Amino acid sequence: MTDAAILEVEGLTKTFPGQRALDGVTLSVMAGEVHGLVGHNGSGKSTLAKVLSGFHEPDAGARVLFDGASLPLSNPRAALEAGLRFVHQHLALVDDLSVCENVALGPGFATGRLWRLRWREQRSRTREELLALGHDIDPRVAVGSLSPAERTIVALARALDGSRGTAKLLVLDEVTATLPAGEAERVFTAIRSITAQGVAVLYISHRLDEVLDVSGTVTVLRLGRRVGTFASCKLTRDSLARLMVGDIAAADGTLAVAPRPRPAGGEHGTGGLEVRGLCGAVITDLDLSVPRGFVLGITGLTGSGREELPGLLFGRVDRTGSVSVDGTMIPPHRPDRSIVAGIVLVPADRARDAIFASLDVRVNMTISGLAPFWRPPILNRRKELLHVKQWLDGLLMDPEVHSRLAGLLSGGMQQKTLLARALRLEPKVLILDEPTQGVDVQTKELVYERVLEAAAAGAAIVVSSSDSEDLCRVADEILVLALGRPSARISAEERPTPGRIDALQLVAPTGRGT
Amino acid sequence: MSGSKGQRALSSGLQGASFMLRRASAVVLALIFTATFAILEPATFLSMTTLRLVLSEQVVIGMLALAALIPLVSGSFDLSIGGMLSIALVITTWMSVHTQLNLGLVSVIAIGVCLVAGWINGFVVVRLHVNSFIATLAMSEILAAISLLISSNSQFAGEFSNTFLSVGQRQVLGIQIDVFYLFALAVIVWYVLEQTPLGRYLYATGGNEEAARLAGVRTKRLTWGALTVSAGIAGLAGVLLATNVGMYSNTFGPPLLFPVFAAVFFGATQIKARPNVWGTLVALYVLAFGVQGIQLRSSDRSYWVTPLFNGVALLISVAFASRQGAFGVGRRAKAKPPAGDGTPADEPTVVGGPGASAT
Repeated sequence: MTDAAILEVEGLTKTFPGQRALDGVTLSVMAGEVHGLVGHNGSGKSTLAKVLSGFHEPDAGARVLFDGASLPLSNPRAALEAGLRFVHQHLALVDDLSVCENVALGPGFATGRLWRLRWREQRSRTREELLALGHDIDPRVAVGSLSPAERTIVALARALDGSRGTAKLLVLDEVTATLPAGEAERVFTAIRSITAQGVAVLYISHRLDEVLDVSGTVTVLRLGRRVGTFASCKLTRDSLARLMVGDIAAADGTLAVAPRPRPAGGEHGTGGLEVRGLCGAVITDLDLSVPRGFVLGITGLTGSGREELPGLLFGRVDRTGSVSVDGTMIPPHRPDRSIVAGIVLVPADRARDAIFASLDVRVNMTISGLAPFWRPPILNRRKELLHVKQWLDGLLMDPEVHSRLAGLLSGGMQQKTLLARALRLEPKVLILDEPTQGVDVQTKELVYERVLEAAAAGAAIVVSSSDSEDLCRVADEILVLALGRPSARISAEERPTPGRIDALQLVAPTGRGT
Repeated sequence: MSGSKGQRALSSGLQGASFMLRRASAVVLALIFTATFAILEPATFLSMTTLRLVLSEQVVIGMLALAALIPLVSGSFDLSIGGMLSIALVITTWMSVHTQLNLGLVSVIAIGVCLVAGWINGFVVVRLHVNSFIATLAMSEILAAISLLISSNSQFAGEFSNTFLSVGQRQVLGIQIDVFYLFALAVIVWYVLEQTPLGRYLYATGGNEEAARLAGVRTKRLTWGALTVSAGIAGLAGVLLATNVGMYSNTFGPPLLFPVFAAVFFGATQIKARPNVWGTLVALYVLAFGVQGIQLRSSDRSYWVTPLFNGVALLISVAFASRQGAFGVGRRAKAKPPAGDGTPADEPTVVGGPGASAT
């Protein structure tokens, strides 16, 4: 391997309306090295990757040298032809197609006369590429039948495929985020064999001990600026985390977020949600108890079990262990019975799991509880309409939106509609999954306000969020998950700050090298 | 000032016209037919005879359309309704010849067989996770096989009492009685779909099944029930057809699927931007009157005009409604979330450079 830099970035700034995502960033990646790139949410790593791929156009004045030549910016084709390759966390594989077909999807198939596919040639080429990454995967099997690590390897093989020119730098954006710890090891073996072929790797990840393990140098970004570039042998997970979030002690002062004042009557009662020995795909043997009037915040990195927990508690997906509300056991797989028992979920992915885009706001709001309007044989639509208008008014929406199709509303308005759907049932347990994702600032405040009101009215509340600010604002206690288990608990009396919560997620064990 | 008033009048006029094209294009079409054929065939087209004929001719298709509508509202196709009609007809006719059973009981048996077949449809779709399109297509073939077996692939006449035949053929207020049956059934289906929580749950399941499930709707049970009920209604239509024609022929049944689904889809663009009862019936009758006019006008050799007319009318009406967003919201919203939730799935995924569009 040589000492020459394959990629040199200087003075890279990218401004979005109202926000500077990157501010004069400098980055230098040597040929054949694994270069780690770390930073917390909003630090600009993804923006940097997207500038390199040509997706974002940077502000004027940036200079990017690639392989000794100036790289034309915001030109995806030029980036590709120069030898830059990208693999994203979501891999973009088609499960129903074979390994061989997936590998050919990017660069194209080997073809003969009359566009006939040369299957044999394609298959043997794919097999060689996979073998070069240390994996003997049959190119004919469907990608959907592979293990998570093997899928990642297939995505790597596609990125490296030589038929579009030689790959020189591979940018890996969070490729191991959803892999179990043991599986990630296999991907690292592949990454090492990639560098052995002389290809440099820019490795973006949240998992700090993986970054320290696999890369020789690490560049840290914070709030769009480069903190520095360090030899990874001189770093520990804790020191790296500190570099990412800034000095934690200092952050406690500067980044403090005042918790919202609690409405009166918020005494923590008894009963509420009791969870014993809960197990899911990631969550392992979790015990929780959330009394009435209490707000429990849940956080953790992607893959820690944070995304899974709300669905497990509500009984959306398969689980073992027991979940009870006020002493009544809740059967899994029966959302209808969960709701009857008083446990309600506001899902994270509104479009996929919550909104009826083709139905109006009124129907969307009342679907879970039509009983107050149903006086057989008549559904009292006038009474329903009045009720819906009252809720819309209470949530600071124009009451006349009741007749609009929910699919045409903004994210904030959809979230308010869903909040009304849940709150009007007066749940005993309210589970909110990413409640402020993709909503405007006013709606965010309104969500906090209503959540605390519901707690004061006696609901046990679980808020799962990747936005640490949410949790600092509303939670009585914050539970940080790692590897499906609690890794830290912070109570509101300790005055947690978003910076501290972020740091706790980062220093949590990832099952490797601890 | 007068100019702005004029503009306002013009724009409200345009809005009205746009609404007519979007939600009531069938009415526009009906007016065009009436005017055209009233001029071309003044003596025959505008007569009570034509009206009566078309009203009663469409009863069986109308019932099948209501049968198809219920699962469609909840997001499932039932392509076996033609087969259901056929098997109810063959059972009724065959039993009238070969058994001494009371014809009322025979009708109940025929409808019962359809309900069982519909229950099996539900089982296959819900428990075996087979796509409803495929499951009911297969059921349609199985039912066709049973019909062929019973009928020995031949037409045969039933031995029906006059009482039985009069159940469908009696005249009331100058109109054949089964027209009233159709409208009575339509009122019931309308009531369930639009005036009860059950109807809400069906529409919710059809709009977004997972969202409905998480909102506490028992989506599987509803799908299962909808497929069973649609089979029962198709069986009822088969028995009614027996009272009308008094015989079995294998030309009844599956060939009715096109006019049935044409009415439901055309109807989904009428009145409301979703499949609905009155839209379905309006669409059914507008198409039927158009066909009737064309048949009055044309010679024996233009048998090809009817399907051409049905096909073109369906395309144009649905295309208009889709352009205006009637179909767009429900169907496409799933593929593309309307509000950027900031989830990584919304972001364009770059694999080996954007030249590779691998999604």
